[in-house]
Amino acid sequence: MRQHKLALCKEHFPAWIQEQTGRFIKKYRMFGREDRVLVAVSGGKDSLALWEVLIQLGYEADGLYLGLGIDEGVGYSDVSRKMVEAFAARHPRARLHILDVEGVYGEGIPALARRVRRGKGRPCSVCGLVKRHEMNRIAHELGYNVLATGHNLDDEVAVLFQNTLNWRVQYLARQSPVLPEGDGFARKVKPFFRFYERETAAYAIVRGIDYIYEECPFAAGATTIYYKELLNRLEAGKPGAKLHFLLSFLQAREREGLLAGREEKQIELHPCENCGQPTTAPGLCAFCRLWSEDVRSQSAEALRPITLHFARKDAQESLVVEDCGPG
Amino acid sequence: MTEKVTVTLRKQKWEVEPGKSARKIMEELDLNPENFLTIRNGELVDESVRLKAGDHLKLVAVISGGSHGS
Repeated sequence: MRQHKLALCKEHFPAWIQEQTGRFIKKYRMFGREDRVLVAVSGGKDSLALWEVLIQLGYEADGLYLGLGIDEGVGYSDVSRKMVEAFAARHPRARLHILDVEGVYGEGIPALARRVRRGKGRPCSVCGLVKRHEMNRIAHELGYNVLATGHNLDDEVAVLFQNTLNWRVQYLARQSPVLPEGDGFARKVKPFFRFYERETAAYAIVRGIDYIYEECPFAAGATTIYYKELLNRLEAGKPGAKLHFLLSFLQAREREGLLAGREEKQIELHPCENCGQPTTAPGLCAFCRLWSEDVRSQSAEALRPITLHFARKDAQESLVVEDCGPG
Repeated sequence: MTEKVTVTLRKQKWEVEPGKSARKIMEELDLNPENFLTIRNGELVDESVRLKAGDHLKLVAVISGGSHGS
């Protein structure tokens, strides 16, 4: 870890990642022992490593997997779901909630994106909208007050770089490892935001976490990846440059008043008339507008995720599919 | 004939001369070491480790799209 001038063996490296994660959770006041944390898991290295670390640290952390119906000839969603289920089976303390978007709403992300023609030929913007809505809805309905994602330092720096290049002042004012709860939104936290992508991948490998190596088929050519490669060229010549860029930005904003007063103005939120989630304009939220009335007005029962709990009984692992009401 | 070092990255495969570090091998393949982890014979190693004849070096790309999708 050249950015820290630190080299650790495979025995001490996982302990360092766990200790640092615990320190960041406290330092940035992400959550405490009393909170119920829902970890958004995709089958990738970051989210599975984060879930494992939170379990190791003793937090009440369950997983949420959204099946997005992405196949593209490689069965991407099927493979990622298997990875997540296999992980959950090895961690019987935690519950895994699964929502199959295609099964519940009748269309996966690629078909939905084609129908609504959003995102200039890429389904990524529709995908983001669906994920944000469903994660928040499910967290709320199942009684989780904290939603944790596996965003790492490279994710955060790429966003910071992009927003700086375009001087998106309001986005810069808002970028944070913690977004507070309120107005119907769960608190959103990023406990891995100070770890390099190399570190989260190394943690997953050293801990024997089987994750999906392949990227989402729609990620090829994504701007984020281009910026990450660019920033890694900088990092290669100047170790620590990425970490310094992010931390000095956060420090300038918090301590030196950078962007003070440029936060988003408090927008009045209204409950969506269909799902009840907060939305900026009266009527239907952007998510509910994606669907026909028949689809969006399904019963709460039909919209519930299934919950898998690989509880141990008599020293034998057995799968319990639970009724997944709150608590 | 001297045994080589086998290097794989996803479906790509190369054979290179032994005695070089993993970092040097990546640089010669025009790959930025920051973008990869190095696994020698199934074990995660630092990129400064020198590879011996018969070693298998697996390069694992670490960059993800940031979408955290599934």
